[in-house]
Amino acid sequence: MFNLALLKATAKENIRLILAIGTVMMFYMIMIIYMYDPTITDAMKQYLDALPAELVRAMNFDMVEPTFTGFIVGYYYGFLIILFPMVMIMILSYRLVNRMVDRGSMAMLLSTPNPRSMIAATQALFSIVASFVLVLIVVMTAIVSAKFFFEFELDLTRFLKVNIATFAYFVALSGITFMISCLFVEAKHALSLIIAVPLFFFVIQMLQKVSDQFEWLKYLTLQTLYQPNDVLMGEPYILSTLVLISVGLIGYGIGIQMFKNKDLPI
Amino acid sequence: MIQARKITMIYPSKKGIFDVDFSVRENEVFGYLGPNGAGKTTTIRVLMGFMKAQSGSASIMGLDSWNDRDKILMDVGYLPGEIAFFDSMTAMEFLHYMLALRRVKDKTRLKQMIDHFGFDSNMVIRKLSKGNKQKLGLISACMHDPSLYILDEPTSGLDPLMQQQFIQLVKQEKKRGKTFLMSSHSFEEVEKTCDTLAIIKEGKIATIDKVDHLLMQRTKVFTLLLENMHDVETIRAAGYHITHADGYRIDVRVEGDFKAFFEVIKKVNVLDLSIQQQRLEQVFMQYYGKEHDHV
Repeated sequence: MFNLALLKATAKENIRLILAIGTVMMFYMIMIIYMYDPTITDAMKQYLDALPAELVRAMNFDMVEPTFTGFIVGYYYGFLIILFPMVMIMILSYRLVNRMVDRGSMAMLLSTPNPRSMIAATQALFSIVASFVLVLIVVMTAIVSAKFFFEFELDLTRFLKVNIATFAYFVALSGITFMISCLFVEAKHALSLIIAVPLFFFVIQMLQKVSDQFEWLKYLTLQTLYQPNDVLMGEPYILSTLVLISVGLIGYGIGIQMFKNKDLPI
Repeated sequence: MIQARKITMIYPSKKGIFDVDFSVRENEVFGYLGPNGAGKTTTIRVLMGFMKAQSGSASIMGLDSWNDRDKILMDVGYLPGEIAFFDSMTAMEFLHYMLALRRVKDKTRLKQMIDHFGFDSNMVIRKLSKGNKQKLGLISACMHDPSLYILDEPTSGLDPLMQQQFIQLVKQEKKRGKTFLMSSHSFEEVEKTCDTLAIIKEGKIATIDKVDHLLMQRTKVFTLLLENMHDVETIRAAGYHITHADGYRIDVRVEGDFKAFFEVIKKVNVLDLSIQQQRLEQVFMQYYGKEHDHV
């Protein structure tokens, strides 16, 4: 199914990228937690009111519940939680497939008697694990910071639900970019789409939030299926989460299949 | 061992290989000669299962190159034309990694190869010279002791000493029953190791022949400095084509039978003699002109 030697080597090659993104995300989480002060959440709201309303809405800084958990989900999970992992997903997609083909290192891999599907599946697995690691870093940071540094009450159950939905979104997004990398194999073709597609979803989501007029845009972006505030407030999220995971797995599956049958100029 | 049956594979740029047909027998050292862009690497890509022939078929050890590539590659050692490694690894880490990918545990062959090539395997790949990178590639092609070697320009980047080591390696492996397919753009290189040679140009096979046979037909151009016009006339009268004459310094084209030529020049006063290396183009011109059907 998977090649362990490849998995280890890929992990070694990409650990620094993952930790770098993870560190940035950890930093922002700590910063947002630090900003939480039950007495001044109103002041926070006033501060945000001073900014143009469209900008605030676009960035999804929307605290639906004036609790600590609500604060975190409102300010971290609208924007930051997507931005940095999105960059990592783009870079990984490129590194796991296209860069190897372009450089010729794929030739060394494919000169071994490992089925192409196994090689592609191993890269896909790593991609999913990388997303999981990011979510893990964020969750651990929140739990540890809340408990030990600030003694705030984090509603663990609901917080974890939000993060499950978040992970599902990453699986979907990375599945789509993986599929793109395998569809277009050569870096020059794949790269523009790998960057454009996630960015498109991201930007459309921002625009859609700006005003009611743009609500129809929600049909154009994958992020519609990922609404962390709704998850927090107890709205049904299982279906959209399952859809996201399916989209991801289908994307990976198509990618692996494409890779099996591609002519590779290596 | 290898059967290439009328393989056609055309890139979107319209370049490619057309109706390439040849076979490599077991324990044969088969040379695949052609200029850059002729289609050598394309042919190898089809044989290795990297690309699928658009028409025709390629099989190795009786198995289809595209559909059964996983089985075939168990027993093939491959050296790509452009070696790309994982720069941050050391040479040894890379070799162990390749063995691990292949799930090969036996490291004896690896140790033998490292000793044979004399190699500092603890250096980071990024810092290796081109020659050492090429050696590393060769080691990684040999270390799992395959029956068939497919090598794309194996001596590129190697200095003459290392080239000699490579030639010895091929001869040793041949004695052990191994088969080779190696591509090159240097006639000098293949003539020292190969039994059979296929020449490819612009995607088509120009000729396939035993190397001995080709050598016999090879043209060399000798530059002779003679003493007088009578000498020059003697050469001309013997039927040799004088391609260039500058006073008593003449270029004489001699095909194949050098013994007869030496008999002739014994009769004249040769003040100086040198041999022009035959360029690949000249080899091709020769083989395009003749109709060969030797396989």
